[in-house]
Amino acid sequence: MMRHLSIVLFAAFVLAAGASASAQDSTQQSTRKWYAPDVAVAQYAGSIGFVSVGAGYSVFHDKAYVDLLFGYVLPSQAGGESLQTLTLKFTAAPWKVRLDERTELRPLTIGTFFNYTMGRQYSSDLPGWYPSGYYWWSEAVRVNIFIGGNISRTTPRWKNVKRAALYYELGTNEIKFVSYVQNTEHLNIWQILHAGIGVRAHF
Amino acid sequence: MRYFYAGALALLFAGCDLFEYHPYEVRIPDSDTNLNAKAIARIQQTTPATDTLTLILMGDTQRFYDEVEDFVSSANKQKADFVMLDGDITDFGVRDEFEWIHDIMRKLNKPYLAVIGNHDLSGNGEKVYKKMYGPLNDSFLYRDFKFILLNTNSREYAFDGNVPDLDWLQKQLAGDDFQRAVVISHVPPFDSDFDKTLAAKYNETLYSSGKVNLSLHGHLHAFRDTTYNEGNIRYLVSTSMNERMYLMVKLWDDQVEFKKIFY
Repeated sequence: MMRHLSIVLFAAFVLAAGASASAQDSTQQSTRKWYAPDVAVAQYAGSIGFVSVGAGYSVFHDKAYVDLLFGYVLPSQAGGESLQTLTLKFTAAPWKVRLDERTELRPLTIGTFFNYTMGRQYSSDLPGWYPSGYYWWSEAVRVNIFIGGNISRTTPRWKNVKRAALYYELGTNEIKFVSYVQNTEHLNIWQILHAGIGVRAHF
Repeated sequence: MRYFYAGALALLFAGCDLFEYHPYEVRIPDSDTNLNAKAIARIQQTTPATDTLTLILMGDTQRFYDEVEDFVSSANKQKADFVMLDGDITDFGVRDEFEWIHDIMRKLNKPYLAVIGNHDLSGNGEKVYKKMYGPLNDSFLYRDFKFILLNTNSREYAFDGNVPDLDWLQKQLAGDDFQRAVVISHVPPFDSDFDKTLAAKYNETLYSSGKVNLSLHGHLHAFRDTTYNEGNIRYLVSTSMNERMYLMVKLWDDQVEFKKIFY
């Protein structure tokens, strides 16, 4: 039930993004509804899926992003059954370097995301047959922190896309982090990090 | 210069296994699959030098990487036929943790096998365990002994009455190609995580076979040596790795002798 609801909500969000994108090409910025996303996102890896797609907003004059992504891992990559996830991601991108009149570099972004893995077998909180506090973490929800960067470019040849950014992220989650802090002799920081790359298209 | 940075970044990404799809992914290199079967093949190839069989029983390795590293240096100085990791290989059941433990344990100079623990069943851990180590219930013959690896993590299956699988255990004990048998599992039958409707029957299955007098466990994070029930089955529980202890268990005929080793 939760899974179906999540997918329906996500689909509505992406459709709103699509609608706003097509409305954009002939009309003014002001005609867009305040809630309509202005960014489409596609990502490879990054601990949220083999591939992920979604939509988002640029906020604070493009100094921060809020994205919602749907991630998918193929059955062959997950032991026979696919994994489906939803990710809510917040990214701060406060510094901007203009490389030329069409190209911008954000050398450092910092962010956090919450990744929810769908499916009844991944419990969000402890099922009733466990004593309270038996496991302290959630199977379904991972909390990540990351740093990254992006390079974006615009060209008048693109009709619907105002600007497109190529980004990368390097981060970890709470369960890898806690493994690392207790074993700094054996584990090195690269072992707990994971990376993703993606594109964000601004409409 | 720009190409240099791009090249360096590409190399970095390609070189380290950084592009994770999901913590629960089950992408495992072939060299790290079927580890129990590979260990059994190695054990069965060795020719015994004495009548006594020695195994090292180690407890939960979950999140104690530094200590497991020290365990390996200590165990490599011991004379033993093989090492048995008695469950809770990992804390969260994620692929990375299984790989981190195996990366340390592969430095052992003797074969090692691992039993499934309750923490290993978290998330997608059951699939990772099956791919890396093999079936949850398994057995092998070595000399006159049969060693039986049993999944006793009943709580992870909501106490549905099927874990541990005592019918399977009974069939394993019915064979006549061995003299003695040793059962190895994570949760001991006197712990509340073992299905209490099956605990007495587990003990009975062992002693009615007439071939078992030893049941080996982990899970408690503390040492235990007890014969709590009829049939005089001896239950030995090894500590978790943060206690820096393991057991050297010697077996001959129907005799059992063990020694605690602190490292």
